[in-house]
Amino acid sequence: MIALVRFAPKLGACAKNLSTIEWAVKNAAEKGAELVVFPEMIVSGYQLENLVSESALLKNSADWSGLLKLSSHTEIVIGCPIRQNSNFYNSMVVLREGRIAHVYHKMYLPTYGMFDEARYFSAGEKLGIYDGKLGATGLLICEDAWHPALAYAVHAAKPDLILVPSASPARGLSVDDKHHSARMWQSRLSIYAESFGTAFFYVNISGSEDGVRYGGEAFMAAPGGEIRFGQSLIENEVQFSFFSLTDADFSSSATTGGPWQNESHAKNLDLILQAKNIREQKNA
Amino acid sequence: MPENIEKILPLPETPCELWVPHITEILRAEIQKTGLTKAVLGVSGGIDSALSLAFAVKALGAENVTAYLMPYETSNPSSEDHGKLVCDHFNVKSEKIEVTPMANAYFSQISDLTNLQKGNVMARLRMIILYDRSSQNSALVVGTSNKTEGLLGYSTLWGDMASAVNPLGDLYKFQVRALSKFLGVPSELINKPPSADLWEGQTDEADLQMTYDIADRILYNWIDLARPRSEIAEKLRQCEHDPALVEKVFKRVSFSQFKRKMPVIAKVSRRTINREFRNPRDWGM
Repeated sequence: MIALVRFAPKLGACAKNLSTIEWAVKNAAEKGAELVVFPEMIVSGYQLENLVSESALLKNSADWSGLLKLSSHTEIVIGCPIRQNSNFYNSMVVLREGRIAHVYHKMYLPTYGMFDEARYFSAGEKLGIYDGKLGATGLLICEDAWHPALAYAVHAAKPDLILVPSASPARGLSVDDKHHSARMWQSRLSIYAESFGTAFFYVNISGSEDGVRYGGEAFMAAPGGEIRFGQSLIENEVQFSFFSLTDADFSSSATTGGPWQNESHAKNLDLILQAKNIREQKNA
Repeated sequence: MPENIEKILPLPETPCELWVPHITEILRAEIQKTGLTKAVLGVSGGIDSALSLAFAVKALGAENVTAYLMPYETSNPSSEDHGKLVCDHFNVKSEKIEVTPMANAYFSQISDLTNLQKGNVMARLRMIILYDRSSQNSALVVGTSNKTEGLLGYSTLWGDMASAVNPLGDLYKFQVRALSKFLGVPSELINKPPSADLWEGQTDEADLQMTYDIADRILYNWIDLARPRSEIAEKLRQCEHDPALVEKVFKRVSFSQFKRKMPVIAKVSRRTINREFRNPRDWGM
């Protein structure tokens, strides 16, 4: 079972948030979750500004000890600022079998409108792909998923499932009177899931920071594009959504068919090169 | 045949069912994360403070909200009646503290005060009362200024603009009206001409020399939809409204920019407050 878990993190209060995360992992594991996924920056809160430097964790920090113990039976994926040498990253940390199995640094840092990430963070350069408990797992942190080329690159590395942790402020209006931001995530990941034949799992932080509210949405975009919300539970102001592996249905896409079946990654890469050549000719 | 302004410069429907829980939740979270549970606000008898009151009641419960009626001797008596009406309607306790003795103590020492100056003094005295009462009650001050007046600068700096959390700050006047109807604000308050009630017979629209309807259409298209001002002026011309209103709005917005910012700081260090030293307001909460 997969659990998507979120709550309202306290800004800059990492120890407090980590203890909520530990409680939530135990709770989810007791209910049978093998993989527990938290949103982007759940450890620290999102709008940190200068608090990035004092909130960022080191990979070898003692702060991980509680979660590392819990990870012996449960794979844990959490978002936090990471300090590496003199750089800070907006990262997802994967804890599995008592160790930090993978760290992914967000590649696309939104720095426009209400966002200012590149002011505080360095951009990652390596694709987020790791061998997870449930199979090869891809990672896209929030804005990463707005870049179809990156989403495609992760897909082309052949993950069995793709996780999309996010800190997405609720704003704007869709045609059906929902927040545009929330609608957009469903339509975007639905199209990716349908096009790539891969399940996408989305989880957003909740709460309010300086008057900006996060929706706390969680859903799966099934390989056929259908949006599913799983089994929902709220305890101690923590929201859980549970998905059984049959919900995720990783393999069914192979039998139902879809556009990805005729996909040639070599051809796609060639098309990108053709586009690059055309651009360069235009610029020359 | 002139075009219809509602067709040429339309305003969107207000998504009340989406925004009421959204704004309520922000108000609740931002107050409660400070460790406080209560709110105070000034209730003028107008639609804006009535809507803020409605949000505060939804967010915190009526028992945790105190409304202050703060008339001056020239205030229209119907304002106080409407203030009491909305407090009774939402079952909120209200207290009346007249600003007359405080204001007159100052006015008696200064001659030649204009109505505008007097109005600003009253607005700032009300701020002093609200901040003092909030301290007394372990409460936060809930704001009552909407986006239209915030952009037009039609408000008193350190007066009615002062608050800890403002549920209306991103809502244009037309959205305030729609949400007020949705939340059951008494119709007497919704239907009367908006007035700061700083002197007898004053109305917002006379002060602004334009209707809120026109101001909202210009601001919504310019600010929210990022349409060029020249295009908006052309559309006004098409429906036989004065295209010069766009420039008038622009001048008001640009001239009042200082009201929407903290004071200018003379920079000398390498880490100046709010320039390099940037921390969220919710730091540690």
